[in-house]
Amino acid sequence: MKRQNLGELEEIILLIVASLYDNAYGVLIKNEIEQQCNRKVTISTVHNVLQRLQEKGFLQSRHSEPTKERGGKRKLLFTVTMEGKQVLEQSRSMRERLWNNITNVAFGQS
Amino acid sequence: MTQPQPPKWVNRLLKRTISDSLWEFFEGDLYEIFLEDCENMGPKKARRRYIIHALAFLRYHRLRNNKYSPGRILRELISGKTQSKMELFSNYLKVSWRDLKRHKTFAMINGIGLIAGFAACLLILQYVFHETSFDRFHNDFDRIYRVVNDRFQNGDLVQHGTITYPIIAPTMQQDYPEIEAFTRLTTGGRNYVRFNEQVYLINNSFIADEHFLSFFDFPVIEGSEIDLLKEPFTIVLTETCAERFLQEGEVLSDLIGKSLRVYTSGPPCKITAIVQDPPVNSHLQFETLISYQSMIAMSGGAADNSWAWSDFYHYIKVKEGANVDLLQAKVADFGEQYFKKGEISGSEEEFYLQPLAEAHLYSDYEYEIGATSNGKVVWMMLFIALFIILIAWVNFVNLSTSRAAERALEVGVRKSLGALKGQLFTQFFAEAVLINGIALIVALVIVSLVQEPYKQLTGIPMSFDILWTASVAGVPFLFVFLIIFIGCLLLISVYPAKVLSGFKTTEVIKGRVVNSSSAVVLKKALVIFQFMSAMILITGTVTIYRQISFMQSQELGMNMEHNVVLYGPEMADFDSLFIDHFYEFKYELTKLPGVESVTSSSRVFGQQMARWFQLRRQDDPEIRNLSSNVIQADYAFISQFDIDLLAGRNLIRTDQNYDGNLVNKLILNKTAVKKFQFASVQEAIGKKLVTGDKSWEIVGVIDDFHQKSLHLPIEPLMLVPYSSTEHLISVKMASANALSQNLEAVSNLYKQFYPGNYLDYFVLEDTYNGQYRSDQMVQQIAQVFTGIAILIALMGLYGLVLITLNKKTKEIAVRKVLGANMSSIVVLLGKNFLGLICLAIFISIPISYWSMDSWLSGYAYNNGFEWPVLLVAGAVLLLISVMTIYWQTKKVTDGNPADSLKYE
Repeated sequence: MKRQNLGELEEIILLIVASLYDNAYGVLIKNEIEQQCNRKVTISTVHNVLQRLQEKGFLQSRHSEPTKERGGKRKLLFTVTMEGKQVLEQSRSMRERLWNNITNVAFGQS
Repeated sequence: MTQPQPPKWVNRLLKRTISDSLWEFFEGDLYEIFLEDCENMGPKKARRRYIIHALAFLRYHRLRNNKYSPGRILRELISGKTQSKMELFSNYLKVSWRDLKRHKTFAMINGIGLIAGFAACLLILQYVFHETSFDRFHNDFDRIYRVVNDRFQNGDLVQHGTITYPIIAPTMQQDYPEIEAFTRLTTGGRNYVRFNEQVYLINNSFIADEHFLSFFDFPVIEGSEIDLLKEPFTIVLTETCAERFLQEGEVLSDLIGKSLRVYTSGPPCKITAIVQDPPVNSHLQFETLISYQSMIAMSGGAADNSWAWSDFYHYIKVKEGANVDLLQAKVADFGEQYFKKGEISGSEEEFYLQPLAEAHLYSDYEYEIGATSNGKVVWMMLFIALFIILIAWVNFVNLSTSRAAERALEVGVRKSLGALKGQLFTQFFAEAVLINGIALIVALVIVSLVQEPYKQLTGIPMSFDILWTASVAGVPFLFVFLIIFIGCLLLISVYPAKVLSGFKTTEVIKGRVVNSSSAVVLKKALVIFQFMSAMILITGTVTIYRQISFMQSQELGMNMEHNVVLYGPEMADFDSLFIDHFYEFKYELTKLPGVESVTSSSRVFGQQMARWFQLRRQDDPEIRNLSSNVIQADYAFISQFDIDLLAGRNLIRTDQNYDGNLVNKLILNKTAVKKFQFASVQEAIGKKLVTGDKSWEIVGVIDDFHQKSLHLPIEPLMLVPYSSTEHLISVKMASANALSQNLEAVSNLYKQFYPGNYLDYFVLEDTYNGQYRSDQMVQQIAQVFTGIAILIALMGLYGLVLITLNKKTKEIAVRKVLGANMSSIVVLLGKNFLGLICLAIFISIPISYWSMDSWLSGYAYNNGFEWPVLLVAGAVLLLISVMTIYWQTKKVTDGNPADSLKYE
């Protein structure tokens, strides 16, 4: 059975893959995480999460043509599946619901 | 230039372990990151990060190839097929832990041995890595060579040096297309510089050409990087040196463009840049770099193109992919081609290229630019480390095997429940992992605690971090260490397991266990190995100790007691009054109570002397191309240092003159008389020596004395009565007390006579004995580690004796009941062990002899290998072994035999 909830890093990576539409691959995703979220990740961690997301059915992958800049190696490109889109939307609406339940008083700002 | 490449071994490793369908993409990604890192932080660091990033992939089982993951191989090794068997491994650990707790003595013997072994190993490895890391921070390290030079006169090697003529490297670059770049420099020595009306002492300055900073990697932190050291009278400072010049509130960049006065004549030097301090593992150590052009401007074109003035160091860089062997062969012909068999410089010259890798560790040249270490010592230390850890591991194997009988019951139960051979192995592996793991952790803690005292003892600026960052043949040391560590643990667990699993289950449960004969042989061999190592270490330590005391007890041919040496008044002007002024200063000094005598000389004992090369005899034109060391000194030199005058007269006051052209008398030592082919010392008196167009009269001959340490033979020497502001002033005191009491009065007089000069002094004996500092350090370290090795070996012996006794408690009791006395029992038990130890001592003799003989050959004056040392070492080793056995046996035999016999 597939787990339907997302971990934080999983969610970030899923969102980044979506935003990089058609170009998302390891190094680019890693750089994007470092710039946008200001946190360090290793390339192996990124790939591990990508594989996990693929196993869960939220991502699908294909191969690019080999390029010279990478020592003649192909890229593994990712795109978000329908299930992936759904789970992101679920997560977003859940968060919005939760935010809406909070009044300003809760943060002691009155 | 070719692209830097990531380390291949990592790729090979990962290709085998990472999922086949994914690796290609990962490798591509890693390569992209690598290229980016290369640009940002250079290929070295990028390569390191590549390894870390790549190996990090192994963390994730999802990304691994299911068939061959290293974790899985390990797991299968440990517990058989399935993961559930991991539980069994933890059971093994548990049983091992209980066993250790029950047998505290054995746990202690193993544990202490291993802790001491690991700690010693880690400390020695730090030293080894430090020594072997020299100069490797230069990016083109592999392509840099130093030009070194041998000089022969009349068939004798007269100089084996790193210094040579300024024209050499430029000529070589013109002639040989393999050479990409060169840099040349010379040492500026100690300098007093004036800055902001204050005098500062610079201990170590280089005069280096404009290529120096691009040739080597000494990063510039302030100032422009272009055309540094190109203009005459420009200077580059290191960070630490520059900080001394900072005023309140200033920063380093404020110094750029300001001027320092380095030379009393000529314009001041402009500060153009500040570089990082040279790393501690650089053989080039400097505080300032003065532009080479300044030297040319001051000393004329000779500094650029002389074929006779040899004070210059040259480094060349070969082009990538150049054939170095071919270049070496060409360089070998260079001397012949340009020096025409001694016609140019008075000597036959030979040139070689010395790889930068050898400059610190494997260099035996004179006039070294920095401190060198002895590569042999580094290897010796590495062997000591290896011996120690092996001795500790041998204990583990021997004690585990010998205790087989005790463990047999547990093993028997396991076997009867269906345990396989492999599982028995796992049991011992678990034990090895447990005890070695704990020992390693404790050892790490100990090493970090003794780090500071260790650094002080050795006087070497090592750091603990070097263990994490060092690499062996391009592979990180940590990785190598782990592989070796686990490999050795596997090895030392295989054997006890094999012995135990060979027992028949039924016999074992009944408690009857007899070790197979091959097991006994191996055990004996291991004991022999341990004591042989201990014996070699003892002999080595004693020999080193004897050699050092031999050198210190030798007659040196002079007496340097109670001398304090003042640096000369370099800022004073050298004029016609200088010499008289010095004698007035000397007169005032000798009026002080406790001051006996004062002399000025260019060098004092322990310092490298200058050499003159183109000497010939006036009376016999056939005797030419002679060379000799030179000390410039006044007439008090001989008497102050108790040097014997063999013939002729001493120097006198009127031999000295302000005008150097009028100085033409000299004194030879005995060796020089022989080398210059005078029939006797008397015959030399009154004869003349010629250099260039000047002739010198030999007025006296002195006996030989050891100017340098006993590492080196005595060479020809001339005392020449030149004077200079830079001459060292030696003040001889009546006693050691007078030394400290008079210092203030001496320094007051100095300031009064030479105002504006910077007083600095040293004690002559300390400097001279400093030549033996590295010998003493080696001796101290060897002593400590030999002690540790012997201790571990003895603990192993103690353990083995204990086991034998446990097995034979009853036998001993029966013998006692039948009237045997204590000593016969000790002999009965001990003779096996003592036989082994004797055999070990015997085997060690040739090895000790060979290794110590080659070590002693590094000293021109040595004691020779002393056979009694072997005798003493063997006797000491036997004695402490007998004591160990005796003491242990006595404990058992002292008991009432009835107690041992009571239980059946």
